[in-house]
Amino acid sequence: MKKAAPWLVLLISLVAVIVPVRRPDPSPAGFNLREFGRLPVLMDGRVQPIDSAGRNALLKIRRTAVVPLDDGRTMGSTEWMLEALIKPHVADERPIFPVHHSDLRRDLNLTEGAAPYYSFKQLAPGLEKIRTRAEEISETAMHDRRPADRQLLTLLEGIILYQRIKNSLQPNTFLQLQNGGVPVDYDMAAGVAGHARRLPAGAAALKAREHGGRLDQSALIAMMEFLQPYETVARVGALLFVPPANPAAAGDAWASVGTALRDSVHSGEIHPTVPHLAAMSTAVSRGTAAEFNRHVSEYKAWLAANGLQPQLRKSAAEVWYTRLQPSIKAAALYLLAVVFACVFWLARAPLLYRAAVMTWGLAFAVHTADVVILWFFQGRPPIATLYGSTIVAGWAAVLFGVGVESVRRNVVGVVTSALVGLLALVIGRHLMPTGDGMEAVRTTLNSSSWLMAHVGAMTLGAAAILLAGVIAAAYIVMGVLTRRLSPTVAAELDGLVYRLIGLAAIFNATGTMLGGFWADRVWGRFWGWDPKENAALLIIIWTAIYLLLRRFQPGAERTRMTLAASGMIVSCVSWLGVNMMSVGLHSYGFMREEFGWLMLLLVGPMVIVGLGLVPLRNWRSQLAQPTSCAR
Amino acid sequence: MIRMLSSPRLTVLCLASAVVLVFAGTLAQADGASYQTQGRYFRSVIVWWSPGDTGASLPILPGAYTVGAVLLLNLIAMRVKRFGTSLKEPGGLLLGAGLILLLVGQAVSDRLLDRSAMRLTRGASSNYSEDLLLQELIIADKSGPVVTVPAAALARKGEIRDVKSELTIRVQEFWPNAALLAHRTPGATRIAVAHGSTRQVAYVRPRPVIDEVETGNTPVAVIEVLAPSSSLGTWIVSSRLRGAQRFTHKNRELEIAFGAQRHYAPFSMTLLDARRDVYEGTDIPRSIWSRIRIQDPTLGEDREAVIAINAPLRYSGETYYQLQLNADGKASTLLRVHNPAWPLPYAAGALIALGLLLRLATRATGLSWLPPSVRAGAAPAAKAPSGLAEQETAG
Repeated sequence: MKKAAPWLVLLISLVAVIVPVRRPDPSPAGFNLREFGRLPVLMDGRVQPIDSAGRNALLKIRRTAVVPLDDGRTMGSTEWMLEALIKPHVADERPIFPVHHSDLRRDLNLTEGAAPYYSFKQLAPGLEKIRTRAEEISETAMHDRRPADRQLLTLLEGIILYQRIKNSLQPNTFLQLQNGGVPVDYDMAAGVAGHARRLPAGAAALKAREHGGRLDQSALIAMMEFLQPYETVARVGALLFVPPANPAAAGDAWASVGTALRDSVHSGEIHPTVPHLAAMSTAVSRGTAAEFNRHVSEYKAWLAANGLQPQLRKSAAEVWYTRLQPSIKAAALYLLAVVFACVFWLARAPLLYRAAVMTWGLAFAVHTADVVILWFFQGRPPIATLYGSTIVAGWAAVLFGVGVESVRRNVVGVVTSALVGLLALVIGRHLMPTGDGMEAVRTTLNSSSWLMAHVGAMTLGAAAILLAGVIAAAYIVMGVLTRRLSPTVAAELDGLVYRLIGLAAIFNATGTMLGGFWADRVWGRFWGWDPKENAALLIIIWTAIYLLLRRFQPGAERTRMTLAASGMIVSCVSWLGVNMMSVGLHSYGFMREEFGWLMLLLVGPMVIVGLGLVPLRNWRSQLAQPTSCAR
Repeated sequence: MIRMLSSPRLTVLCLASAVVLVFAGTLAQADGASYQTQGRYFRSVIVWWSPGDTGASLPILPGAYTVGAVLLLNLIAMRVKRFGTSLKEPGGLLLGAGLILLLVGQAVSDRLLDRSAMRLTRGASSNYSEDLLLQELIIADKSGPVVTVPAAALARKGEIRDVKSELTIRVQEFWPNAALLAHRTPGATRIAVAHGSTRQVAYVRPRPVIDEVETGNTPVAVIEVLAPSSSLGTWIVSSRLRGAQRFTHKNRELEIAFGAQRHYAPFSMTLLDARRDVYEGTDIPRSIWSRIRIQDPTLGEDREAVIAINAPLRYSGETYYQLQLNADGKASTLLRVHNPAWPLPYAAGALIALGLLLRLATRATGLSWLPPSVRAGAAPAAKAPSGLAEQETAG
């Protein structure tokens, strides 16, 4: 039994990893939303499943991935997307727009009862007011904006995105205006079929007009009457449904349904995607689930037959990945590993050691899988975004932890690296409140090899400093509060910290130099003193101070360890703080919520650095007083 | 003195003040105006601080040049103290040389870096770029400039004589940065000049001189132009954008105005095409590029090149980067950078890398898990300077 226990723990953890966190969306009335959610579309510059498109849009608009309904049911992202695309009158009543600020609620005449989430229908009367206010606010300086003003801008962004989504498949806004409040009952399939019938005569008439021949005016008008509203879809639609003719060559040259219909006039034929989508739309309006499911599978088969099998597979994998949420699993396992390791430290049972190492190893494996999958979905190393680099830094710290633990099997590597990994995953989730971290990156970052080399090295350096900091923290906490820090253990930890910071020095110096070369190539100067460059420089100088102190003052172990513990603060401030400064501080001053989080995060390290300043004679562990500099 | 200069305590002091300087200089950039602020902290000997509107300036921090110079001397002194002039421990020597080259390279680059903007419109060619900061007084006829005087040279007032054109410029008034107004406003000075029977009146409100790239200065001056025999007239001169003053001399139509200082190149560039590619379905640019044609009569070159973000063009010792692109793609601005110090960081990087490798190679055998103090037992490890000792060091 005793022998089997760790394996049992491993088995239970494995099962926990495989079970998805998000349950699949319940399909209302037999609609196969699962299948529909896996269809690939292009949104935000990336081919993604409809499920992810809905999820990312909801995260941007509502800051949550699902919509809780009044009847206690939770509406998933795919179902919400389907409503927004095809049943606008229903989607308009979903409470998805957060208005937290009571001043703003009063301004927009919103009832307090429904707070804090409002539907598009509730906001629509105040839309003009929101637009005018937003224009006024954009004129004012960033630091003059009140929180209510900033929320209004976010609200308008959400409304615009919602309207773009709503007009991605059929011209819903136009249809709603035409129907004047009556629920839209639109037969897109019939419309497209009619267009197909009228197309030969209409296209001929258009050609005649262009070349000055005899033209059939009525045929042209009949065709344009159907097409005109779809101009909106072509112009604003957020989801691009129509894949390129040659997906292997032109990966993301997808087009909107509106563009495809416009092009039909010139080519004389309708892109095959459009009738499929139209049939789905009509099936949804009619409420015929069987029809809908049949058209979804037919469309899927068509995509597969036309060279989009890879995109289909990738989309399905992405849906599976978002349901699995490996980062949450890894975080939970890291926590479990820390608990096991701490209990082991108190009880010293080898069984517990094995359990700790196993959960830690499993967590690392899941974490690794997360990084690899993220890489696969983005098609580039996942370090271009702050979220990605945080996850990768945590992963690298655990990798270093594996090195530490394999040399001395005393849970130091397990506890410290699991803590860093856990924190990175938790912070990472807080950094991605408005998307899945797979957004398109700005032009300058769109250069894979430099990005890999520079950001990669910097991330590894940050990871090593963080791990060293946590080990130093362990030294200080053990030394001040317990009697377990013997001089041998102390020297061992000191050696580990030195190794890690030495490693970090090499990574950071290399990374910064590479960054300079990159900047020279891109901006024409090696070094420009901008906040990000300064942050890197700060870390390097800090490392240099540590190494100098160790070189010229080898006896000052306590000072050195305290300095090493402060590395947690230095790297967090340099890395996260500066990012907040360039995107946040610069515009909002110190008022951002994230800054509060960062401060909260730094309380722990600050307390530990404070503990480290306690004179050695007050430590509970008896360490040798430094003799080297006695005078 | 030498003892102090070669002390590792000085190194730590330098590094500590560098931390404070970098931190303060970064925080200061949160308020914007970054180029100017960077100059105050990182291209200066001393960082001055003016509290409120008192007009007084207090030195608060050593600037980057001071910290860098002291660090440089300190590194050299430490090396000399330990090894004299011998070449022992070549790894450390290379590492130090690399660091010094890096510091010197940055200072040199600060001095020599020359950036200007080349504005191109589609189909048209240009052979000059405009300085992002410096202005000059230009007297030009239809074919091009006849006399140019840097704005800074006008600050001394007095007379400036141009030998070739035989024109003399007499500076009566000069404001390096000012607003030229048509009506009286508080704080404005009235200036008036006579042209025969008519009088030109304007009001000048001086503005503080800025060294910020984004906005630039708009100088105003009252200038009399003299031919060898007679005065050609006196004018209130401001930027070319507001309109130049015109006069005739030796049957030539001349105009006088301030404009951005121009750098003429021995070749010309023609903008053939420029575009901004966005990520499908977004407004985020994926790539911004300009296709240009370079015609260089001196080298006999005539070819096309594409300049894009992340892909600059290096030509005749200068580098051209894609800076801005008008929304309609009709006009593109290239950033011309002339940085003679550009190879220095690369050389420094190579030296540092080589030094590190050598050091690692020599120390690989001596690596130990334990710090030197433990390795050496209870014996005093190194002759550590007292100032770095722990406070609670037993007496």
